[in-house]
Amino acid sequence: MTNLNKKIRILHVDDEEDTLAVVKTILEKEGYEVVSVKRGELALEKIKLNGFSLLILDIMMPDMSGWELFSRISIIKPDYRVIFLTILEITEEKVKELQNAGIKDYIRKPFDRIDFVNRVKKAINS
Amino acid sequence: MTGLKGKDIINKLVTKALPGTKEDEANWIGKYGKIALTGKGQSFEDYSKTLNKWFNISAYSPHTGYFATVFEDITLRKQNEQRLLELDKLKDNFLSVTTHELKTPLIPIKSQTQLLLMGDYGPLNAEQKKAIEMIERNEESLNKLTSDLMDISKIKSNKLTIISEPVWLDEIINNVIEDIKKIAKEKNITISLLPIIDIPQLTADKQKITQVFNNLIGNAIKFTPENGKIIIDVKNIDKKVIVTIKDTGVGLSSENIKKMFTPFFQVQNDLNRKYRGTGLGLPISKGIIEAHGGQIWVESAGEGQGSSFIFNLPIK
Repeated sequence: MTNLNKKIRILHVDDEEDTLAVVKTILEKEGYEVVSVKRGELALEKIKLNGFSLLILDIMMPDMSGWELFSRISIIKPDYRVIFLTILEITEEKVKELQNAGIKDYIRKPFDRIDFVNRVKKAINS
Repeated sequence: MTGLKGKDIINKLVTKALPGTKEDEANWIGKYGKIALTGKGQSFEDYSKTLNKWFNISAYSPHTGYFATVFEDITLRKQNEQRLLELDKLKDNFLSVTTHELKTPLIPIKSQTQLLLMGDYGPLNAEQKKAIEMIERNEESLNKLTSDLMDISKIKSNKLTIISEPVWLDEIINNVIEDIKKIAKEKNITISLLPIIDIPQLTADKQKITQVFNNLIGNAIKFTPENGKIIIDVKNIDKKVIVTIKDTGVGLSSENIKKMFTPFFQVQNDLNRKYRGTGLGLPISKGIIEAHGGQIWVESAGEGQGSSFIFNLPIK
Protein backbone atom coordinates (compact mmCIF):
# COMPACT_ATOMS: atom_id res chain seq x y z
CA MET A 1 0.00 0.00 0.00
CA THR A 2 1.18 3.51 -0.77
CA ASN A 3 1.83 5.69 2.23
CA LEU A 4 0.70 9.17 1.21
CA ASN A 5 2.88 10.89 3.79
CA LYS A 6 6.05 9.28 2.56
CA LYS A 7 5.94 8.62 -1.14
CA ILE A 8 8.63 6.66 -2.92
CA ARG A 9 10.68 9.14 -4.97
CA ILE A 10 11.85 8.50 -8.50
CA LEU A 11 14.15 10.71 -10.59
CA HIS A 12 13.57 10.61 -14.36
CA VAL A 13 16.07 12.13 -16.79
CA ASP A 14 15.13 12.54 -20.47
CA ASP A 15 15.67 15.37 -22.95
CA GLU A 16 12.15 14.94 -24.40
CA GLU A 17 9.54 16.92 -22.52
CA ASP A 18 6.59 14.78 -23.63
CA THR A 19 8.35 11.59 -22.57
CA LEU A 20 9.00 13.13 -19.15
CA ALA A 21 5.32 14.11 -18.94
CA VAL A 22 3.88 10.66 -19.75
CA VAL A 23 6.29 8.82 -17.46
CA LYS A 24 5.37 11.23 -14.65
CA THR A 25 1.63 10.71 -15.25
CA ILE A 26 1.93 6.92 -15.35
CA LEU A 27 4.12 6.63 -12.26
CA GLU A 28 2.17 9.20 -10.23
CA LYS A 29 -0.97 7.15 -10.89
CA GLU A 30 0.90 4.30 -9.17
CA GLY A 31 1.46 6.53 -6.14
CA TYR A 32 5.11 7.45 -6.73
CA GLU A 33 6.56 10.92 -6.53
CA VAL A 34 8.40 11.69 -9.76
CA VAL A 35 11.03 14.39 -10.23
CA SER A 36 11.59 15.03 -13.95
CA VAL A 37 14.68 16.74 -15.33
CA LYS A 38 15.82 17.44 -18.88
CA ARG A 39 19.59 17.47 -18.47
CA GLY A 40 22.28 15.40 -16.79
CA GLU A 41 23.76 18.36 -14.91
CA LEU A 42 20.38 19.06 -13.28
CA ALA A 43 20.06 15.39 -12.38
CA LEU A 44 23.42 15.49 -10.57
CA GLU A 45 22.30 18.55 -8.58
CA LYS A 46 19.05 16.85 -7.56
CA ILE A 47 20.88 13.70 -6.52
CA LYS A 48 23.24 15.67 -4.27
CA LEU A 49 20.26 17.25 -2.47
CA ASN A 50 17.70 14.46 -2.35
CA GLY A 51 17.35 10.79 -1.86
CA PHE A 52 15.65 8.75 -4.61
CA SER A 53 14.57 5.13 -4.56
CA LEU A 54 15.08 4.78 -8.30
CA LEU A 55 16.70 6.64 -11.19
CA ILE A 56 15.28 6.28 -14.70
CA LEU A 57 17.77 7.47 -17.31
CA ASP A 58 17.52 8.07 -21.04
CA ILE A 59 20.70 7.27 -23.00
CA MET A 60 20.82 9.60 -26.00
CA MET A 61 20.78 13.12 -24.58
CA PRO A 62 22.54 16.13 -26.10
CA ASP A 63 24.63 17.57 -23.24
CA MET A 64 25.49 14.49 -21.23
CA SER A 65 24.66 10.95 -22.34
CA GLY A 66 22.94 8.50 -20.02
CA TRP A 67 26.17 6.44 -19.89
CA GLU A 68 28.18 9.44 -18.70
CA LEU A 69 25.50 10.47 -16.25
CA PHE A 70 25.41 6.94 -14.84
CA SER A 71 29.18 6.82 -14.34
CA ARG A 72 29.16 10.24 -12.65
CA ILE A 73 26.30 9.18 -10.36
CA SER A 74 28.19 5.98 -9.49
CA ILE A 75 31.04 8.14 -8.14
CA ILE A 76 28.73 10.23 -5.93
CA LYS A 77 26.50 7.40 -4.79
CA PRO A 78 27.33 3.93 -6.07
CA ASP A 79 24.32 2.09 -4.64
CA TYR A 80 21.50 3.77 -6.61
CA ARG A 81 18.93 1.58 -8.31
CA VAL A 82 19.03 2.54 -12.00
CA ILE A 83 16.89 1.70 -15.03
CA PHE A 84 17.78 2.78 -18.56
CA LEU A 85 14.74 3.83 -20.61
CA THR A 86 15.84 4.19 -24.21
CA ILE A 87 14.94 3.89 -27.86
CA LEU A 88 18.28 2.21 -28.48
CA GLU A 89 18.81 -1.51 -28.54
CA ILE A 90 21.74 -2.32 -26.32
CA THR A 91 24.23 -4.99 -27.39
CA GLU A 92 24.55 -8.26 -25.50
CA GLU A 93 28.00 -7.31 -24.17
CA LYS A 94 26.70 -3.96 -22.99
CA VAL A 95 23.76 -5.64 -21.23
CA LYS A 96 26.23 -7.85 -19.33
CA GLU A 97 28.37 -4.83 -18.55
CA LEU A 98 25.28 -3.04 -17.23
CA GLN A 99 24.29 -6.00 -15.06
CA ASN A 100 27.79 -6.11 -13.62
CA ALA A 101 27.60 -2.38 -12.93
CA GLY A 102 24.37 -2.98 -10.99
CA ILE A 103 21.84 -1.60 -13.50
CA LYS A 104 18.47 -3.09 -12.59
CA ASP A 105 16.83 -3.09 -16.00
CA TYR A 106 16.77 -1.60 -19.45
CA ILE A 107 13.44 -0.81 -21.09
CA ARG A 108 12.89 0.10 -24.73
CA LYS A 109 10.80 3.09 -25.77
CA PRO A 110 7.98 3.26 -26.78
CA PHE A 111 7.04 1.05 -23.83
CA ASP A 112 3.90 -0.79 -22.82
CA ARG A 113 2.42 0.86 -19.74
CA ILE A 114 1.71 -2.32 -17.73
CA ASP A 115 5.09 -3.87 -18.50
CA PHE A 116 6.85 -0.59 -17.64
CA VAL A 117 5.08 -0.22 -14.27
CA ASN A 118 5.80 -3.86 -13.37
CA ARG A 119 9.48 -3.46 -14.12
CA VAL A 120 9.71 -0.21 -12.15
CA LYS A 121 8.10 -1.94 -9.15
CA LYS A 122 10.45 -4.89 -9.49
CA ALA A 123 13.50 -2.62 -9.59
CA ILE A 124 12.34 -0.67 -6.52
CA ASN A 125 11.69 -3.85 -4.55
CA SER A 126 14.97 -5.48 -5.50
CA MET B 1 45.91 8.21 -72.02
CA THR B 2 48.52 8.85 -69.36
CA GLY B 3 49.10 12.40 -70.49
CA LEU B 4 52.83 11.64 -70.76
CA LYS B 5 54.82 12.25 -73.95
CA GLY B 6 56.73 9.49 -75.72
CA LYS B 7 60.08 11.25 -75.39
CA ASP B 8 59.61 11.48 -71.63
CA ILE B 9 59.09 7.78 -71.06
CA ILE B 10 61.02 5.87 -73.72
CA ASN B 11 64.27 4.44 -72.34
CA LYS B 12 63.29 5.45 -68.83
CA LEU B 13 62.78 3.29 -65.77
CA VAL B 14 59.07 2.65 -65.24
CA THR B 15 59.24 4.16 -61.76
CA LYS B 16 60.63 7.36 -63.31
CA ALA B 17 58.12 7.36 -66.16
CA LEU B 18 55.19 6.66 -63.85
CA PRO B 19 56.22 8.17 -60.53
CA GLY B 20 54.13 8.17 -57.41
CA THR B 21 52.47 4.79 -57.89
CA LYS B 22 51.66 2.73 -54.86
CA GLU B 23 54.41 0.26 -55.62
CA ASP B 24 58.02 1.09 -54.91
CA GLU B 25 60.90 0.24 -57.22
CA ALA B 26 61.80 -3.06 -55.60
CA ASN B 27 58.20 -4.25 -55.93
CA TRP B 28 58.02 -3.26 -59.60
CA ILE B 29 61.16 -5.18 -60.42
CA GLY B 30 60.08 -8.15 -58.34
CA LYS B 31 56.60 -8.25 -59.82
CA TYR B 32 57.53 -7.81 -63.49
CA GLY B 33 60.70 -9.89 -63.13
CA LYS B 34 58.58 -12.77 -61.88
CA ILE B 35 56.20 -12.42 -64.84
CA ALA B 36 59.13 -12.32 -67.31
CA LEU B 37 60.75 -15.39 -65.76
CA THR B 38 57.73 -17.57 -65.01
CA GLY B 39 55.61 -16.55 -67.99
CA LYS B 40 52.59 -16.28 -65.70
CA GLY B 41 50.63 -13.11 -66.40
CA GLN B 42 49.07 -10.90 -63.73
CA SER B 43 46.40 -8.28 -63.60
CA PHE B 44 46.18 -5.62 -60.90
CA GLU B 45 45.04 -2.10 -60.15
CA ASP B 46 47.39 0.75 -59.34
CA TYR B 47 47.16 4.46 -58.63
CA SER B 48 49.59 7.10 -59.88
CA LYS B 49 49.79 10.09 -57.58
CA THR B 50 51.59 12.26 -60.16
CA LEU B 51 49.01 11.58 -62.87
CA ASN B 52 46.12 11.39 -60.41
CA LYS B 53 44.83 8.41 -62.31
CA TRP B 54 43.90 4.82 -61.58
CA PHE B 55 45.08 2.10 -63.97
CA ASN B 56 44.20 -1.50 -64.48
CA ILE B 57 47.46 -3.11 -65.49
CA SER B 58 47.66 -6.46 -67.23
CA ALA B 59 51.18 -7.78 -67.46
CA TYR B 60 52.12 -10.88 -69.44
CA SER B 61 55.22 -12.49 -70.86
CA PRO B 62 55.39 -12.77 -74.69
CA HIS B 63 58.78 -14.60 -74.48
CA THR B 64 60.65 -15.95 -71.50
CA GLY B 65 62.69 -13.17 -70.00
CA TYR B 66 60.47 -10.44 -71.43
CA PHE B 67 57.28 -8.86 -70.27
CA ALA B 68 54.71 -6.56 -71.78
CA THR B 69 51.98 -4.55 -70.09
CA VAL B 70 48.63 -3.19 -71.15
CA PHE B 71 47.33 -0.16 -69.24
CA GLU B 72 43.70 0.74 -68.96
CA ASP B 73 42.62 4.05 -67.44
CA ILE B 74 39.95 3.17 -64.82
CA THR B 75 39.96 6.56 -63.03
CA LEU B 76 36.32 7.31 -63.83
CA ARG B 77 35.16 3.91 -62.59
CA LYS B 78 37.18 4.30 -59.39
CA GLN B 79 35.76 7.78 -58.80
CA ASN B 80 32.23 6.48 -59.30
CA GLU B 81 32.85 3.60 -56.92
CA GLN B 82 34.13 6.03 -54.32
CA ARG B 83 31.11 8.29 -54.78
CA LEU B 84 28.74 5.33 -54.44
CA LEU B 85 30.45 4.26 -51.22
CA GLU B 86 30.10 7.78 -49.82
CA LEU B 87 26.44 7.94 -50.85
CA ASP B 88 25.79 4.54 -49.31
CA LYS B 89 27.32 5.70 -46.04
CA LEU B 90 25.29 8.91 -46.14
CA LYS B 91 22.12 6.88 -46.70
CA ASP B 92 22.94 4.56 -43.78
CA ASN B 93 23.56 7.52 -41.47
CA PHE B 94 20.35 9.14 -42.65
CA LEU B 95 18.43 5.92 -41.99
CA SER B 96 19.82 5.51 -38.49
CA VAL B 97 19.23 9.15 -37.44
CA THR B 98 15.79 9.37 -39.05
CA THR B 99 14.48 6.17 -37.48
CA HIS B 100 15.49 7.43 -34.04
CA GLU B 101 13.72 10.73 -34.70
CA LEU B 102 10.65 8.90 -36.00
CA LYS B 103 10.41 6.79 -32.87
CA THR B 104 10.61 9.70 -30.42
CA PRO B 105 7.08 11.11 -31.04
CA LEU B 106 5.63 7.59 -30.81
CA ILE B 107 6.53 7.40 -27.11
CA PRO B 108 3.95 9.93 -25.84
CA ILE B 109 1.43 8.83 -28.51
CA LYS B 110 1.56 5.25 -27.24
CA SER B 111 1.49 6.17 -23.55
CA GLN B 112 -1.33 8.71 -23.85
CA THR B 113 -3.37 6.26 -25.94
CA GLN B 114 -2.97 3.61 -23.26
CA LEU B 115 -3.86 6.07 -20.49
CA LEU B 116 -7.01 7.10 -22.39
CA LEU B 117 -8.04 3.52 -23.17
CA MET B 118 -7.48 2.39 -19.58
CA GLY B 119 -9.84 5.12 -18.39
CA ASP B 120 -7.25 7.16 -16.48
CA TYR B 121 -8.71 10.38 -17.86
CA GLY B 122 -12.30 9.31 -17.27
CA PRO B 123 -14.73 6.97 -18.97
CA LEU B 124 -14.92 6.92 -22.77
CA ASN B 125 -18.06 6.61 -24.84
CA ALA B 126 -18.21 3.99 -27.60
CA GLU B 127 -17.23 6.42 -30.35
CA GLN B 128 -14.27 7.84 -28.42
CA LYS B 129 -13.07 4.33 -27.61
CA LYS B 130 -13.26 3.32 -31.28
CA ALA B 131 -11.36 6.44 -32.32
CA ILE B 132 -8.58 5.89 -29.80
CA GLU B 133 -8.31 2.23 -30.71
CA MET B 134 -7.77 3.36 -34.31
CA ILE B 135 -4.96 5.69 -33.16
CA GLU B 136 -3.46 2.79 -31.21
CA ARG B 137 -3.52 0.42 -34.20
CA ASN B 138 -1.85 3.02 -36.41
CA GLU B 139 0.71 3.85 -33.75
CA GLU B 140 1.55 0.13 -33.59
CA SER B 141 2.07 -0.11 -37.33
CA LEU B 142 4.28 3.02 -37.33
CA ASN B 143 6.23 1.59 -34.42
CA LYS B 144 6.71 -1.69 -36.30
CA LEU B 145 7.86 0.20 -39.40
CA THR B 146 10.42 2.27 -37.48
CA SER B 147 11.66 -0.86 -35.69
CA ASP B 148 12.10 -2.53 -39.09
CA LEU B 149 14.04 0.49 -40.35
CA MET B 150 16.26 0.40 -37.26
CA ASP B 151 16.87 -3.32 -37.81
CA ILE B 152 17.76 -2.93 -41.47
CA SER B 153 20.10 -0.08 -40.64
CA LYS B 154 21.81 -2.27 -38.02
CA ILE B 155 22.00 -5.26 -40.37
CA LYS B 156 23.64 -3.09 -43.03
CA SER B 157 26.31 -1.93 -40.62
CA ASN B 158 26.76 -5.40 -39.04
CA LYS B 159 25.57 -4.15 -35.68
CA LEU B 160 22.59 -6.44 -35.17
CA THR B 161 22.46 -7.58 -31.57
CA ILE B 162 21.85 -11.27 -30.96
CA ILE B 163 21.02 -12.17 -27.39
CA SER B 164 21.39 -15.94 -27.26
CA GLU B 165 19.42 -18.23 -25.03
CA PRO B 166 18.19 -21.83 -25.26
CA VAL B 167 15.12 -21.96 -27.52
CA TRP B 168 12.70 -24.60 -28.75
CA LEU B 169 11.52 -23.96 -32.30
CA ASP B 170 8.19 -25.75 -31.93
CA GLU B 171 7.29 -23.46 -29.04
CA ILE B 172 8.17 -20.35 -31.11
CA ILE B 173 6.24 -21.59 -34.16
CA ASN B 174 3.14 -22.48 -32.14
CA ASN B 175 3.17 -19.06 -30.47
CA VAL B 176 3.45 -17.29 -33.83
CA ILE B 177 0.63 -19.39 -35.31
CA GLU B 178 -1.52 -18.60 -32.27
CA ASP B 179 -0.92 -14.85 -32.71
CA ILE B 180 -1.40 -14.80 -36.45
CA LYS B 181 -4.27 -17.27 -36.95
CA LYS B 182 -6.93 -14.55 -36.69
CA ILE B 183 -5.58 -12.92 -39.87
CA ALA B 184 -5.32 -16.32 -41.61
CA LYS B 185 -8.91 -17.10 -40.68
CA GLU B 186 -10.17 -13.95 -42.42
CA LYS B 187 -8.94 -15.50 -45.70
CA ASN B 188 -9.81 -19.05 -44.63
CA ILE B 189 -6.18 -20.11 -44.90
CA THR B 190 -5.06 -23.10 -42.85
CA ILE B 191 -1.64 -23.11 -41.20
CA SER B 192 -0.23 -26.44 -40.12
CA LEU B 193 2.99 -27.46 -38.46
CA LEU B 194 4.04 -30.97 -39.49
CA PRO B 195 5.02 -33.27 -36.60
CA ILE B 196 8.62 -32.62 -35.60
CA ILE B 197 10.78 -35.66 -34.97
CA ASP B 198 13.76 -35.35 -32.64
CA ILE B 199 13.91 -31.58 -32.53
CA PRO B 200 16.98 -30.27 -30.73
CA GLN B 201 17.22 -27.30 -28.45
CA LEU B 202 18.89 -24.35 -30.18
CA THR B 203 20.93 -21.48 -28.83
CA ALA B 204 19.45 -18.43 -30.49
CA ASP B 205 17.81 -15.05 -29.98
CA LYS B 206 14.22 -16.01 -29.19
CA GLN B 207 12.73 -12.61 -29.99
CA LYS B 208 14.53 -12.32 -33.33
CA ILE B 209 13.76 -15.88 -34.45
CA THR B 210 10.11 -15.17 -33.56
CA GLN B 211 10.39 -12.07 -35.77
CA VAL B 212 11.60 -14.27 -38.67
CA PHE B 213 8.61 -16.65 -38.30
CA ASN B 214 6.26 -13.69 -38.02
CA ASN B 215 7.67 -12.22 -41.24
CA LEU B 216 7.66 -15.48 -43.20
CA ILE B 217 4.26 -16.76 -42.07
CA GLY B 218 2.83 -13.22 -42.34
CA ASN B 219 4.10 -12.97 -45.92
CA ALA B 220 2.73 -16.41 -46.75
CA ILE B 221 -0.74 -15.32 -45.56
CA LYS B 222 -0.48 -12.03 -47.44
CA PHE B 223 0.46 -13.62 -50.75
CA THR B 224 -1.83 -16.64 -50.56
CA PRO B 225 -5.36 -16.31 -51.99
CA GLU B 226 -8.42 -17.34 -50.00
CA ASN B 227 -8.83 -20.99 -48.97
CA GLY B 228 -5.10 -21.60 -49.36
CA LYS B 229 -2.71 -23.65 -47.25
CA ILE B 230 0.52 -22.92 -45.39
CA ILE B 231 2.62 -25.86 -44.24
CA ILE B 232 5.56 -25.53 -41.88
CA ASP B 233 8.09 -28.31 -41.76
CA VAL B 234 11.07 -28.59 -39.41
CA LYS B 235 13.79 -31.16 -40.05
CA ASN B 236 17.01 -31.97 -38.29
CA ILE B 237 19.78 -32.85 -40.77
CA ASP B 238 23.58 -32.80 -40.37
CA LYS B 239 23.77 -30.67 -37.23
CA LYS B 240 21.40 -28.20 -38.82
CA VAL B 241 17.74 -27.44 -38.36
CA ILE B 242 16.02 -26.88 -41.70
CA VAL B 243 12.74 -25.00 -41.66
CA THR B 244 10.44 -24.83 -44.69
CA ILE B 245 7.41 -22.57 -44.91
CA LYS B 246 5.44 -23.61 -47.96
CA ASP B 247 2.38 -21.83 -49.26
CA THR B 248 -0.16 -22.23 -52.08
CA GLY B 249 0.19 -18.54 -52.90
CA VAL B 250 0.97 -16.36 -55.91
CA GLY B 251 4.46 -17.82 -56.38
CA LEU B 252 7.49 -16.09 -57.87
CA SER B 253 9.14 -15.69 -61.24
CA SER B 254 12.83 -16.65 -61.40
CA GLU B 255 13.62 -12.95 -61.94
CA ASN B 256 11.91 -11.98 -58.67
CA ILE B 257 13.45 -14.86 -56.71
CA LYS B 258 16.85 -13.19 -57.15
CA LYS B 259 15.64 -9.87 -55.76
CA MET B 260 13.45 -11.09 -52.89
CA PHE B 261 15.96 -10.34 -50.15
CA THR B 262 16.94 -6.85 -51.35
CA PRO B 263 15.79 -4.11 -48.91
CA PHE B 264 12.63 -2.26 -50.03
CA PHE B 265 12.09 -4.64 -52.95
CA GLN B 266 8.44 -5.33 -53.78
CA VAL B 267 7.25 -7.60 -56.55
CA GLN B 268 4.79 -4.89 -57.55
CA ASN B 269 6.61 -1.68 -56.90
CA ASP B 270 4.08 0.94 -57.88
CA LEU B 271 1.65 2.87 -55.72
CA ASN B 272 -1.32 0.96 -57.13
CA ARG B 273 0.12 -2.31 -55.92
CA LYS B 274 -2.20 -4.89 -54.48
CA TYR B 275 -0.14 -5.78 -51.40
CA ARG B 276 0.99 -3.25 -48.85
CA GLY B 277 4.27 -3.38 -46.99
CA THR B 278 7.74 -1.91 -46.93
CA GLY B 279 9.66 -4.83 -48.38
CA LEU B 280 11.82 -5.03 -45.25
CA GLY B 281 10.58 -8.30 -43.72
CA LEU B 282 12.69 -10.59 -45.89
CA PRO B 283 15.99 -8.66 -45.78
CA ILE B 284 15.59 -8.41 -41.99
CA SER B 285 14.89 -12.15 -41.76
CA LYS B 286 17.98 -12.79 -43.88
CA GLY B 287 20.08 -10.54 -41.60
CA ILE B 288 18.80 -12.34 -38.51
CA ILE B 289 19.35 -15.85 -39.91
CA GLU B 290 22.85 -14.97 -41.15
CA ALA B 291 23.75 -13.38 -37.80
CA HIS B 292 22.94 -16.83 -36.31
CA GLY B 293 25.25 -18.52 -38.82
CA GLY B 294 22.42 -19.85 -41.00
CA GLN B 295 21.18 -19.37 -44.56
CA ILE B 296 17.82 -18.44 -46.04
CA TRP B 297 16.47 -18.79 -49.55
CA VAL B 298 13.26 -19.10 -51.55
CA GLU B 299 12.08 -21.70 -54.04
CA SER B 300 9.12 -21.43 -56.39
CA ALA B 301 8.07 -23.34 -59.47
CA GLY B 302 6.88 -20.05 -60.96
CA GLU B 303 4.10 -17.50 -60.77
CA GLY B 304 0.86 -18.97 -59.46
CA GLN B 305 2.63 -22.09 -58.19
CA GLY B 306 3.21 -21.19 -54.55
CA SER B 307 6.52 -20.51 -52.78
CA SER B 308 8.69 -22.17 -50.17
CA PHE B 309 10.85 -20.07 -47.90
CA ILE B 310 13.58 -22.20 -46.40
CA PHE B 311 16.19 -21.44 -43.78
CA ASN B 312 18.66 -23.39 -41.75
CA LEU B 313 20.24 -22.78 -38.38
CA PRO B 314 23.27 -24.52 -36.97
CA ILE B 315 22.71 -26.68 -33.87
CA LYS B 316 25.28 -25.50 -31.39
